Amino acid sequence: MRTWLGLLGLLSAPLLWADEAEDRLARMIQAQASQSYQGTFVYERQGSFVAHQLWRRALDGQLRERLLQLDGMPRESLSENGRVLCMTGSADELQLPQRQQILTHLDAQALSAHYQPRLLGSNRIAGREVEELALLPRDPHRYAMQLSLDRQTGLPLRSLLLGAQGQLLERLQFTEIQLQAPSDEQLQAVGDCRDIEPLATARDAQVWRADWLPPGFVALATWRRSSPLGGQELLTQVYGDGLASISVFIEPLREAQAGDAHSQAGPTAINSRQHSTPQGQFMVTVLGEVPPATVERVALSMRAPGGQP
Amino acid sequence: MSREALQESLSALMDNEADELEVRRILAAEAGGELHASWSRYQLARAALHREAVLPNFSVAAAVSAALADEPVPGMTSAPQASRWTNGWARLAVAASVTVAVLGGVRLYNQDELAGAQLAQQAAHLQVTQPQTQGPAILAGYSESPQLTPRSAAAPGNDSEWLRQRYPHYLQQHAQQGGSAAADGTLPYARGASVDGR
Repeated sequence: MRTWLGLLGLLSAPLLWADEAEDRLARMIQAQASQSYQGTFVYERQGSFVAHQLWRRALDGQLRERLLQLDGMPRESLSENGRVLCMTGSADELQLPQRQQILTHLDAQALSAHYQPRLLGSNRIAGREVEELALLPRDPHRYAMQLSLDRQTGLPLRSLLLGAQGQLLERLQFTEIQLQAPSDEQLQAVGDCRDIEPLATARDAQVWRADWLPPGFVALATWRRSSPLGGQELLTQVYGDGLASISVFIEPLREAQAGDAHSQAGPTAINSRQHSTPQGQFMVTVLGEVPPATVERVALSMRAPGGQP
Repeated sequence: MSREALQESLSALMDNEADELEVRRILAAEAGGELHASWSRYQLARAALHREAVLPNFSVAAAVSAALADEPVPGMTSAPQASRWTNGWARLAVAASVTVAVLGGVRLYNQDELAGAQLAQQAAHLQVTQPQTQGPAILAGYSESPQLTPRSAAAPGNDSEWLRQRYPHYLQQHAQQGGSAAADGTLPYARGASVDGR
């Protein structure tokens, strides 16, 4: 009898998954906005395995966070309500765009149009009970993600990015976490934390556009700035599907010579294409935590404003 | 292509030394044969090493092959006018990447830390089942190694220096500006740190 009940449970499970998974996602987003905590986590990707410490305080709707790299260079970052205030280490980025939060505005249905949510069962991470939630891509244009969500709070204690062959591309995993709000002192940078200015988004229509994007990816923002390497204008666009994001960088090539190229930095695929336009030569670089074929296709489909490539 | 070469590619893949174009080559070379069995064994071995509940059997050749069959050639649908051109380049690029992979067996490293790269390659060859946590001894961190496609190789005046300087900036900015549910600040920060964290 028990076996049969179990089987029945298994059979009816797919119907519940979507709803339950959406609940978990909603709970996770809520927890990230309202839960204070501190702990250590490791970040692993090809050729890199580094531990970090995190302090986060959510108080009266204000979110303040400090991150400190524990291995190697003591890189530090302070942020408030998602905006990076200051940073050490990052060589010459004194201006950074604000992160685009879209999932909070995206209904879970839209997400499940491109990812199949699946609850995989229980596990234990950082000494705490978690529930494993997988988000499997419905097409070959994106990667799968597996989240380990804390049963008590809903916080993600581990997040894995998995390639099309199931290979692990990236891991962020807490090793220790405490649910107590950090003090003012703990939220102060100790190193030489340099101020970061927010970069204003560009609102003009005269921008490059992608003729092809994976289904579900939408344009989130565009920025114009002068390139950190020489005064030329650097145009940046970011697209996202709620989980993965793709950035496009467009820079004029004056006398510079550069050929098409592609590369891979951990989970991030990069593809650069030279485009000839009536305005001259441009180098278009597309990167994102998506399969290399996806960034290549986006790079090939980029069109200059007002016309043909 | 010889079986040994394919096996070697498979090992490289396990160590995340190979890129996805190489995977396609491997899968195309032998559908459903011995290599797939090896691949599954390697995956199991690694899962055992890591002792973790990673998605079981989410993967395999079939899914990728199906995806490939489904996938139109880049540039084809999006740009009717340019398709002959871009299409040609895309094919050439893919073909050449494969050629490079076949001839060299490994990536074209184009970086100053040649010693570091060689060390990394040696490590990859010596230990097939080495877990991904290749420790700080490799110092590869972020390897600035654009794989050069024929365009650059064919024209001697071209070099990747221009891109090589920019990739770290692009990666840094990308990490910060992306939008993701799971990220919530922590992941972008960690990704950014791994780009310039030496």
